[in-house]
Amino acid sequence: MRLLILILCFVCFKAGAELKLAVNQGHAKPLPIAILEFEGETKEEKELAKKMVAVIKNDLKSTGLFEIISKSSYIQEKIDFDMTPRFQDWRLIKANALVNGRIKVIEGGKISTGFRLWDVYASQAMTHSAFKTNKKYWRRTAHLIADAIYKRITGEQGYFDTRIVYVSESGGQLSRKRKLAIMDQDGSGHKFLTDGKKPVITPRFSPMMQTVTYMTYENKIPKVFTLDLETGTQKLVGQFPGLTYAPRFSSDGKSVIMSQAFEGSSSIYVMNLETKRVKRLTKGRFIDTSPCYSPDGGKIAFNSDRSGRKQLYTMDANGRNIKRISYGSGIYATPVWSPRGDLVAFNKMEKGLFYIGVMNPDGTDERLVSSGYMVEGPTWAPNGRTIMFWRQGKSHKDGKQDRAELVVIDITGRNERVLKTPLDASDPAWSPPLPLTLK
Amino acid sequence: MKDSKAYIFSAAIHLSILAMLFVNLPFMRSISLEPPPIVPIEIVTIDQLTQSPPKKERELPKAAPTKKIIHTRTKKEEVPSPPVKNEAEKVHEKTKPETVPLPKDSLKQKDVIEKVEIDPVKSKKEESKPEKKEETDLKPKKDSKEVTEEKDKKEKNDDFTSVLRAVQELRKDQPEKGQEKAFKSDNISDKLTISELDALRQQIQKCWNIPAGARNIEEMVVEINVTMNEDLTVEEAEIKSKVLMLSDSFFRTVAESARRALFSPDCTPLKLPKGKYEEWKNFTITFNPKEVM
Repeated sequence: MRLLILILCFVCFKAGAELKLAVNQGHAKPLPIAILEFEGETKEEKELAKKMVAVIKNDLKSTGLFEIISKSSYIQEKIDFDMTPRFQDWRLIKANALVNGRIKVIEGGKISTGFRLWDVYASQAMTHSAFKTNKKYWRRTAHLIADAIYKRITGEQGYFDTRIVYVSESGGQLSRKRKLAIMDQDGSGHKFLTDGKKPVITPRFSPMMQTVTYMTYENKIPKVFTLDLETGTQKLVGQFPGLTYAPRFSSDGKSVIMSQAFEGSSSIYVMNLETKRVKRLTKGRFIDTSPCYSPDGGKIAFNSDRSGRKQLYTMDANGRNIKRISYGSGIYATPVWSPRGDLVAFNKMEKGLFYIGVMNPDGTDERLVSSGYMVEGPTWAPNGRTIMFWRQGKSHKDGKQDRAELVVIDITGRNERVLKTPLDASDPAWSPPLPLTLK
Repeated sequence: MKDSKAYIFSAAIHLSILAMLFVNLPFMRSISLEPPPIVPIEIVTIDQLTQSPPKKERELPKAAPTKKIIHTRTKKEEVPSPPVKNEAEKVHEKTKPETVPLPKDSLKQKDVIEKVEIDPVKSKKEESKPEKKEETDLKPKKDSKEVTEEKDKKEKNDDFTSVLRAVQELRKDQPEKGQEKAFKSDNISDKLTISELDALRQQIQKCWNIPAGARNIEEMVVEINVTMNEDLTVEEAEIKSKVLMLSDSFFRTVAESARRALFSPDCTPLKLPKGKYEEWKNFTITFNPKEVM
């Protein structure tokens, strides 16, 4: 018995003698990535390759997670698409990842584009893919390639092949024109969807489809519409008595949730888009507004003054089990559930400043990610890592106001950047990823 | 007479028991407690002992703080009011659907993008890599009958054999070099000192670029088995959790970032004492982003 214990002790000692090291610190810097010019034989192919690589670089750089290595520092300037890169050359310039590709114009005005992503330090391929499409959609193909690179390196779904719908504003305060506009997430392909004859507010995307819900006021009567972006069909959801605010799609896209003010109080209602049946979810003489479904459809976040001051609450989809989740100072508004369900973005007003913040759905770990004279309307990128909102500058004595603009920021509070729009911009809504085929 | 003998015998036994108790039981002794000698101890930072550079140089930029403090304005500003929205008046339900006029050609997108498969390129490394040879036993093989008979004999021999077998089982996943090391480790100068380990840790920390903002990153712990070359470069870094690598893309992201740290030019060569190759030829490294997040 003693012998057994002695031997076991010896073995344990031996196992403990194996060298082990724990690393608990590091840094969070953008990942250096080299993106080579895609191969092309003809002049047309080469031009397309140049434009596509520029879009891919811009997409990845805009996330703040990648550092694009300058072409001038490349040692290996060309890699045959069917060959393995000289990894040692790329290690020398500290490229962690490498992308190369090939474009071919094929029959029927189509292009075939392939790319390969390499892990330089591990000297191995990470992913590869190819897309065939009409050459006029080269930009979307570039976004899809950027999405694939982003997904393979970060583990998150890419969000480059998405669109933004927002309210484009022009004119003075009294004669303000509000048009519905759409563009790619990088600001390209800008289009106006309405002509501005009727003011448009609060556009919101369906989480499942390329459909937008929005409101207009005609003769001070609120009307809720849906617009199918694939077919261009608009449908009137309904006209509602009293003030109606911020209609939003449910997670399955089959109903719309909104708040309606009536006789001094405001309650939350849900309307089935097929049956047009309306169900009231909250009751009482409170002001309940800005409802938003969780991605699984089981919960609703909203804001209410039921505790005396505007705070954030959650409830079950049937209106039961109401729980307060915000307890900070100031006023909270516009809760928006993240598409991955782990966070709720919100608007906060305190001591003369507006803030955009995020918190866990149970109200813990509140973080403020941006602030300004007026920052409002948070909307999530489909991967739940990036938030867009709109920022309005101060009003001046001469009646002029600083430009209203769309701002994008990472949930870590880093990499804030302004999205360029032709006119003033407010109320953005981020689309889900576009389907590979649009009817 | 008989009774007196019994009494004497009983008394002798009682006395002997008392004597044994007096000699062996500690609580029966009076123990003199001497205060321990005073040893002067100075608290110093580990930097002074390790081979690492001064603290200021070592400080790494930390990942995003969990609570961001937003800049505050010094001037007092009026609380801005949100834009006033138009009030609705009484409305009557209309049966006809209405539409907002759309500008012409605003929605004429008909995209078709087809995803095509391409053949993966065979990397030179893969091509040149010789296939792993299966371990072959060079000793003449015995009949299974013989083997079992021998086994039985041995089992019967004594318990010691079974203990040794159990030990061998435990050692199975420890390679031969482990055995070599066990003997070499007897010499304390062959082991890596705390300073040497600390220098290595600090070097690797500088090379580890953590993917900030990734989901549940704080819960991910990556273990890597490292095989080193004698020239202080990493020959192979094998991520232990192969199942998670395949099933969890977020884990894969963190694990790959950890592996990249080991191959990073800033971590090549690794700061290890050349003379102690047997000690660091193989080691396990654990990357834990929890404390960083």
